[in-house]
Amino acid sequence: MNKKRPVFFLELYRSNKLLLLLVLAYLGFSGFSALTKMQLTPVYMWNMFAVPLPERKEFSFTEIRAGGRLLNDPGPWHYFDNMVAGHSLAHYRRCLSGEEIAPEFQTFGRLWAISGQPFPADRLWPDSAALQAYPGWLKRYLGSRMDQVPDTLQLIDYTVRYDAAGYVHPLSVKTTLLP
Amino acid sequence: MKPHAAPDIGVYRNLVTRVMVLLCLFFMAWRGLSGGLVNQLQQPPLFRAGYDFSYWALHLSGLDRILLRPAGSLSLVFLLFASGVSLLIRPSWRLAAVVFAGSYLLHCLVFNLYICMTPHVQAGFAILLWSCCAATPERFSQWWRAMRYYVCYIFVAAFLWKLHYGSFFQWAGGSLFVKEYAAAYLYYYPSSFLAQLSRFLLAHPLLLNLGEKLVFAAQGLFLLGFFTTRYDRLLLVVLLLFMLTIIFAGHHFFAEFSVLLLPLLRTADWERLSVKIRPGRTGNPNQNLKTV
Repeated sequence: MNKKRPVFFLELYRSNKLLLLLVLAYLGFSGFSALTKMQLTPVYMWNMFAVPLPERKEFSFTEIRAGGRLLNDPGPWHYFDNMVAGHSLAHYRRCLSGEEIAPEFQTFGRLWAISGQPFPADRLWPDSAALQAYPGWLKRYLGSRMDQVPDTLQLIDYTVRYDAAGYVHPLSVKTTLLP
Repeated sequence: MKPHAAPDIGVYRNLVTRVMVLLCLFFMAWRGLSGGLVNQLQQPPLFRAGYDFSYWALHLSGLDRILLRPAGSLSLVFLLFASGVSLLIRPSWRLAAVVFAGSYLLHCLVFNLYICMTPHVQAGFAILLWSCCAATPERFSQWWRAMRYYVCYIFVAAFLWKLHYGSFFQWAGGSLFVKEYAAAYLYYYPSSFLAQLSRFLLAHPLLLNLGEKLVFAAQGLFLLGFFTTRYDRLLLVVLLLFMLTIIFAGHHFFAEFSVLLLPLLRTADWERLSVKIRPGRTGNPNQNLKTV
C-alpha cells in the first residue's frame, strides 16, 4: 500500500533542514520585498507587466546606427545582441534627462548610521565621470561586435503611430550623434 | 504480477542535471555569440544598482570591478563553462555543481548590474541549478520538489501582482502591450509572418485583449500546483503557451524560461527519455535508488 506523503515542510523539517531554511528564507525575503519594494536578486517580486500601460496613440523606439549600419535589429532572434547596448543606453539617456534619479536612500541612511559610518549613497549611483565615459565605452563595445570601432554613433528616435490595419507610420524622426 | 511502485525522481537525477545544464550552456553560448558575456562587456562605466541588496553588496565590495577586468571576467566565464561541461560528464560531482550554479548567479549579477536592467527571465536557471548540488538522490528528490513549488510560486505571484496593480483589469492591455513592444519590429519587418500575426491580433482587439486576460488568468492556475500534481500536464501546457505568446505576440524573448518546464515533467517522462537515450536500460525502479 502506498504511504501518504507527508506535507512538504514537515518532510524537510525531518530530513533536510538546510533546504527548509533556504525555502523559508526565500519566502521571508519575498514577503519583505513585497512590503518594501527592495529586491535581493535572484529573489524577485514578479510584478512584471502588473502595472497598467499608459493609454496612448504614439509609440517610440530608438535606432542605433554607425556608418548607416543598423546595430540594434529588433528581430526576436537578436534579443541577446541588443541587450547590452539597448538597456544601458536607455538608462544613460534617462540619467542625462533627469528622468531617472538616484534612489532615495534616506531610510537606509538612518539604519546605516547605527554602524557609525555614513551611508555610501554616492557609491550606489554612477557619477559624472561614468556618464562622460559611457559614449566612448558604447562605441568600443559595439565596435567589438563589428570590424572596427565607429567614430560616432547615430541615435535615431522614432515616434510612430498605428493605422487601423496595424501598420506603423513615423510621425517624427530625430537624429542625435553620440560623439 | 505485482505492479512496481512509481520510481522517485532521484533515480533520474543525472539525466535531469544533464538536461538542465545542457539547456543552460546552450543559452550561455548563444549569449556569447551575441556579445552577452561579462568578458565581452569591455568594462562598462555605467551601472544601475537600484534597490537591490545583491547589487549593492556586489558594488560596494568592489567584486564587480574585479570580475569585469579581463582576468576576472575570463576566469568567471571559464569557470562557468568548465564546470558546466564537467557536470555533463559527471552529473553527480557536487563541487562542479556548486561552482556552476554559483558562477551562473554571479555572472547574472555582474551582467545585469552593468546592462542597467534586470531581466527576470534568468531567475529560472539562477535558482533551479542549485538542485544539482544535492548530496544524494533522496535529497535531490526533495530539492526537485521544492523547484516545482518555485515554478508554481512564480506564476501565482505574477498573477496576484497583476490583480494588485490592476493590469488584469485594463481591458485594452493586450492591444497596448503589442503596440508598445512591437512598434520597432513592425516598422522594420512589415511583411514577415510575425508582423502579419501582430497586425491580425491588433485588427481583432477583442481576441487580443481577451487572450491577454486568459493568459493572465492561466497564471492563477498554478495555485493548483501547491495542492496536487494531478494538473501538472495542464500547467506544463499553460507555461508553454505563456512562453510562446509572450515571445511571438508580446515580442519579449522569454526562451530561457523553458527551464521552468522541467520540474513539471513527471518521473515517467524522465523514465521514457532515459529509455530513448539508452535503449534496453529500463532504470529498474525496484533497485535501491540507483541513479541513471
